[in-house]
Amino acid sequence: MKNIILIISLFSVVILSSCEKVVDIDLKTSESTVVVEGLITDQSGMSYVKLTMSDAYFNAQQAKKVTNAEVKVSDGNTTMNFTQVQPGVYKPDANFAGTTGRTYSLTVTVDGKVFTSQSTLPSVTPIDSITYKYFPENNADGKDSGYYVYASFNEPAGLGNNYKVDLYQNNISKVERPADLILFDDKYIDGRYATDWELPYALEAGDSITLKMYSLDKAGFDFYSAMLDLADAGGLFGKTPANLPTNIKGDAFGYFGASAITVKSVNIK
Amino acid sequence: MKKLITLVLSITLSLIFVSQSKAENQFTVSGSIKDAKTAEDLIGVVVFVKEKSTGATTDINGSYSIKLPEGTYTLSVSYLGYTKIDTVVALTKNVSLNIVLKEAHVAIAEAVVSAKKENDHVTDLKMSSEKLSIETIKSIPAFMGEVDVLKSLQLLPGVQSGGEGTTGFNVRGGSADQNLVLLDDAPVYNASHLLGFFSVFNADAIKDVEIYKGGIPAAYGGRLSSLVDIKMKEGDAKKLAVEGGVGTIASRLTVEAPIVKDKGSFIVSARRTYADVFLQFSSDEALKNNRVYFYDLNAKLNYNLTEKDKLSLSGYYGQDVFKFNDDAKITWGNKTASGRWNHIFNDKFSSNVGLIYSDYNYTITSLKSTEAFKGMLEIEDLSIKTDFNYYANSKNTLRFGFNIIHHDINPGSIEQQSDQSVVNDLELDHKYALENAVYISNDQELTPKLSVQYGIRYSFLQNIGGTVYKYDSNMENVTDTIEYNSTHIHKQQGGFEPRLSLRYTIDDRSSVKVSYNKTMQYLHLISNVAGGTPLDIYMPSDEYIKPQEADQYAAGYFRNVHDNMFETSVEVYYKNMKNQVDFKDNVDLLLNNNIEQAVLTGTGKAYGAEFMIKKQKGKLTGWASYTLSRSERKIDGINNGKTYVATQDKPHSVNLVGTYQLSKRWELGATWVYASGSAVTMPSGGFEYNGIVVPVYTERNGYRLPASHRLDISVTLKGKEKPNQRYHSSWNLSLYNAYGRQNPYSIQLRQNEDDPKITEAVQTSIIGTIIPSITYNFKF
Repeated sequence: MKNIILIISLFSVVILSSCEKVVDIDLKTSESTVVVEGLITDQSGMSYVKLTMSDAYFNAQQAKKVTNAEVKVSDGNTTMNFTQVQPGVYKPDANFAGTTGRTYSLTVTVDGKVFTSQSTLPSVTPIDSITYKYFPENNADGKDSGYYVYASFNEPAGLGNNYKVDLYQNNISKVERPADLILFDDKYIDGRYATDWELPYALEAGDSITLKMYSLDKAGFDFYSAMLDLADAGGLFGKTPANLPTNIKGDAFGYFGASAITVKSVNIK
Repeated sequence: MKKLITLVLSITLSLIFVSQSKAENQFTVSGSIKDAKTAEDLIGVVVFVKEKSTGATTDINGSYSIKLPEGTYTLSVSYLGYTKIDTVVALTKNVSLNIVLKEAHVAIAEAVVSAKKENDHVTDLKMSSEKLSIETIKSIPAFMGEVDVLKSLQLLPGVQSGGEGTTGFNVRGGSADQNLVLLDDAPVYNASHLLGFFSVFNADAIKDVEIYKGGIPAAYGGRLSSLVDIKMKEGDAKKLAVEGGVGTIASRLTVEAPIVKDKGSFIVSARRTYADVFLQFSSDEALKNNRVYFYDLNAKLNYNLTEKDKLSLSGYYGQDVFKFNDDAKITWGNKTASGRWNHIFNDKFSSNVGLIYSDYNYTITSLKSTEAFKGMLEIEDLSIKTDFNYYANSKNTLRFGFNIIHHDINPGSIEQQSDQSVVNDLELDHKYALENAVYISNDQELTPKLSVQYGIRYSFLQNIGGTVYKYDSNMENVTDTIEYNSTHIHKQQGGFEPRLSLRYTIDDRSSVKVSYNKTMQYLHLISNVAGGTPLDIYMPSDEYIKPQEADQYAAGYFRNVHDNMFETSVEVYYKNMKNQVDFKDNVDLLLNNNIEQAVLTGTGKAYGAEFMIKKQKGKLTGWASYTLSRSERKIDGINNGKTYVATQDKPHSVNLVGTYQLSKRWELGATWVYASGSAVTMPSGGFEYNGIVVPVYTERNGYRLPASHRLDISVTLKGKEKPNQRYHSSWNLSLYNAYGRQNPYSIQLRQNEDDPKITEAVQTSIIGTIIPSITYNFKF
């Protein structure tokens, strides 16, 4: 599908001279709502809960942070209090690490309102190797010139595994917009070994590259899939615009999820 | 409902009986009317009995039949664009009279809506319908010079374009999947090439197209909003003829010839684009290795077996091909075939039996070794359609028949293509169904001023074989899977579709018409993508998805003025729709075996008024129309269950279409269209998640895009004509979007491409400039 879109776009641009322009648009503003961004991982120091308020669309990135919340996460046996480490960001003890298969329950209290959610930490398959290859200008594959990174991993048999992959170029995430998300499930590749699976970024010599592959529960996969769809929202091939599904109970937006993470790095020389 | 049918039937029978009993010493004059040059059947020719001020028109087989008391009459046979003929006939017994008409060499192109009686617009029972001849369609300025049958329909009131670059059109507030597009009786599931920039019909192979926005005859059904009946041209039965054109984007060639002179003929027509040929020379590597093209083939064969038996075979094959480097190849297209046998039993009774095949398929092949796969989806129909015509008497024409369609739908399958590939095989459950219908209708003249067409259709769908899933009460989890064997009918649902049209002639220049139509639809387009894609598949009604239903009421006033030079009309309509299909938020419909979990249904309402004035004669011909309309939906699970306007709701639209015959050789064409922007959903808030900006929506279709308008113009220069010259040619220069308007196709809210910290609203125009094109056409 993406290929068709690309060709059609090329057709439109070259032959029809289709064009884009930035316009002013007057949007209504709905009531501000609590937004929960929460992650429990099996890597210590990486779990957090971030609380913000939704705002007018064009103000979304300057949205107010929720600094007076009480954040608790229970693993069924013990309940941890998350403490605020910077405005709106709450973290557990530095040595906390989640355990695969365990269910984590979140309780957030803001001004007397309670928001809850839960997620069971799915396991993730290790990345066995990571390599790279250079493509020069005007290569036969029609790629932008640069270095491309390839990962090999085994997709364990049994349906229901979901993955999200973030690529860090010199410690900066390449995921900045919905279209940058890399997301897949095992619907078509269940139980197969992925050899030299290509990541769609042209990178440079000297870059230090880190891949982080996250396991996602079903709610997380649905949440991020809908986020990926935002890339086309309102366009020719966009799905009917809709709110992202949320697993937060109590009239809030966002997603709280538990993920295992596998990390692999390579330096491009 | 049963009562209604009994009533209709008994009225029909009693009226026929009554009028028959009075008809003593009556005889029939009947026969066929053909083109003298090509021996092609002429449809809609008026045979007028001067002494009686009555008459008939030829049906789709070019046949007519008139019942008259014993006597001598003058029959006046007229057809627009042909020389009128008067013949005297003495009726002392039933008379068979076949007539050939010669094409009139009129200097002025009679460009507008096809041949018919001059005040047919007023006197015909039909309303909410429009027939465009291919000559009219060809006189309309075309996008990239490619004459487009479906785009020309979008210039009619009540028919709206889905937008530049999208498949489909909307009729009277209906959705794009509610139009039945028939090519010689075969349904065409995806009528667009290149995702909607061009329609799949090669104009050189088409004779005419008729659209019914309402008042759909009982013989047709299966779609809610409209019937688009496209007839392919019959081959020249007298001599070999070649027609073709070289255009900016595609070339065409048509060959037609007799098989046996005056008895049988064939026509073959082909078209292919060649933009891909130029792409090869591009210096841009990204473009150079891509291929985008489409082609189509039309063929038709006619043969008169006997005086009373006529056989015709039509076929269509079209394909779009997208090749992306050596990585992927995507193709899609339609195949249709129809064979029809027309038999005349006697001067009153005729039949038409058709065997029809239609197929749409989409294939994607990924050639990358590590992920090589072939994906496919397909819908395949095989059907039989039988229609009978019975001219009971001069006041009643009965039509009845049946139609059985077998649908075989493959909603998606994936096949691994190489050993290294990590892609597994996957095949969704095929869906099989029989769509059946029987109908009967009568055209009846109650008084010289009042005519009525009433009919009833009973249609039903049977799901046969396949897999059915059972769910818990929330439709969330599959609780059971039932496999039916391939002959087991596990669900049957249907209903009666009454049809009624009434015309009251005030005088020979004006009339009032009303109609009521019930339509049902058993196939639903499974798509939640704004513009529609070639990946959209149709699914049948079943245990979970009910048939869509619509009731349409329409009324109109029709008046011709200035000696039939102008046709004017006002029509109003009101449509109630049930079981309208939409989908839950965020669902992935592709390769989804449990579509029923994603389906939401609700009601719809559409109403409007259509104003039209058409100029039929003179150097300037064309029409102007204005439509005021509204289309709403109310579906549980969308817009908090509150009523919202449909995407295709465009309150105001204006169409101006004109052709001006400057001289014998020069012709100018122009169209101007204006339409309110479509309804779109915009966010009323937003938040940031992991650095990504996420919109918050609180209502469906709460905003409207700016209005769009466009002017297209064309100039045609015909080659110098000498007497007895065989070779005819013309040049056509057209400017699409002549004043370079950038009509908004969409407004997307997104993070800036260079700085993700900035959010902005970006308006996209698919066509951003004037698109000139030049085409050379020839014929010999």
